[in-house]
Amino acid sequence: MLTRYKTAQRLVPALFIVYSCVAVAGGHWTPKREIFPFFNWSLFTTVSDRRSLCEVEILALDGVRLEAPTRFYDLPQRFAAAQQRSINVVKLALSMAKAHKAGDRERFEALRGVLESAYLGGVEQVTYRLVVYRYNPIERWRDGTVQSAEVLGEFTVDRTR
Amino acid sequence: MMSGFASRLRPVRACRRILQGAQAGHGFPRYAAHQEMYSAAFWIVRFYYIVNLFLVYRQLATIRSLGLSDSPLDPLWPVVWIEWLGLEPGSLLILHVSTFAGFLGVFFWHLRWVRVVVVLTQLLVAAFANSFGAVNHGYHEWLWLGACFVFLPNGRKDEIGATRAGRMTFLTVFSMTQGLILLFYSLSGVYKVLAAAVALNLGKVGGFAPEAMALTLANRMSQTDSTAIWAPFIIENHWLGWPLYLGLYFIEFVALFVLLRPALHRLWGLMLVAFHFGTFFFMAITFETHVLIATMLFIFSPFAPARPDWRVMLRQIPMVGFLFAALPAKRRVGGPGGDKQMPAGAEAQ
Repeated sequence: MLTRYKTAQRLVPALFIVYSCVAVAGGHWTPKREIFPFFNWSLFTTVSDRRSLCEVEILALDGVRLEAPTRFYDLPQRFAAAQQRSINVVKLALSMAKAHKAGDRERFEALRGVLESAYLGGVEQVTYRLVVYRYNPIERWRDGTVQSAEVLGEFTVDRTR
Repeated sequence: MMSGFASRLRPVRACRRILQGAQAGHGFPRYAAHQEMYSAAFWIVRFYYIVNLFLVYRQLATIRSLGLSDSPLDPLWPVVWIEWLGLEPGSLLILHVSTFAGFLGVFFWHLRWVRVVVVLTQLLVAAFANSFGAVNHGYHEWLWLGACFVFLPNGRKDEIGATRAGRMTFLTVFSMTQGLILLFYSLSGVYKVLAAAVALNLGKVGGFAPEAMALTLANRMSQTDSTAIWAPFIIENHWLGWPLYLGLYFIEFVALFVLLRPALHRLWGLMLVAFHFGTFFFMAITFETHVLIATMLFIFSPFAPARPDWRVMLRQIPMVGFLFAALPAKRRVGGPGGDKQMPAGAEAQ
């Protein structure tokens, strides 16, 4: 039993070192930014007055064009994830923007498939676009001011066919 | 001339000294207290496996609905096999084995192989739930707790508690679990502090800026178009958020140092729980399991002294404790080596 105690004592620093190394490496050098389940716990690390965000905006629903492009989260009556304010849509859109920027078409299409089936379900037809906004968070929160908008693409899902 | 063994011990002692802070290191054991600590730690581990069954139950509906969806899987490595088996059969398999393991854990967690089965099924559940395009981290800590508990000694309470070595092994693994959770907070803090320092160096607005909390809250509100209860107040009065934000950086950054300072366990547990309540009130984000874990491991820490002494606590605060070194100590009783103020558990850890 005493040997086990000594082993347990040595295990403590070993675990801390291994975990830290794997988590930090995974956060920097893997596409998913994590070697699951070694998360590096880098949460809300970046603080800046210049931020960018890739957003999903709905243009048409069931064949009816909306008056203006509408943010996914502003349609809680149509999409369950919008009602729950699920952060997954933000994370997914961010991953899509990264894949788009890297020119990884295969990954982009795979993520698009997840977005359309998991989060844009419940409607027969939906046309949406992906837009990257650049903004000062406080200005945008106050009056919606954004500094720039870049459309990454427009897509239509038609489940009637 | 110093022997090889002694020279190897020097850096270990130096590290320990830094981690423990000024107050500890009187060098007398508290064997009598170990039995009580062991008993408390044992009940916390048992409670973990009870709550685990509840969490298994809570996840059933999610696993089922994901299994029935027509979403393409973006699988994490533990569930790549689902691509061959099919989404629904794969999800049903995970659902059933996690249920079985949940019950097994409640009754037979004292057996190591059961703890291994429990943690493997937790891994499957977490991987499956996070294989749909985005990874969330609500259950990572819970999973890692289970992984640490695998290293607890095999046996029932009386069997392990019969020997000092058994009790010490149990307490060391329990302490490692506490340390790993504190490491998570420290990693988070290190990233924040480094990013803030870089921004400061470049003359940009960053984490040390007075408006840092306001910017973080406003950005989060923009991301999901949500409104947290207290966010508007902080955004409009950003100077009030500054001390809160710097305080949070400090609490996270030094968290790991608290491991060997048992006098601070309850205080840090309380602050971590308060921080997670804050993420709801300020950001509309909940960390349910994190609140539970901080409460279990730190507010109810088996190593925390029964009677907290605020002077000891102040002196033990990492990085700033030395400012309180001149505070008068409590009257000591028991003569040399009998200092009743010694933080309980320092020796056990």
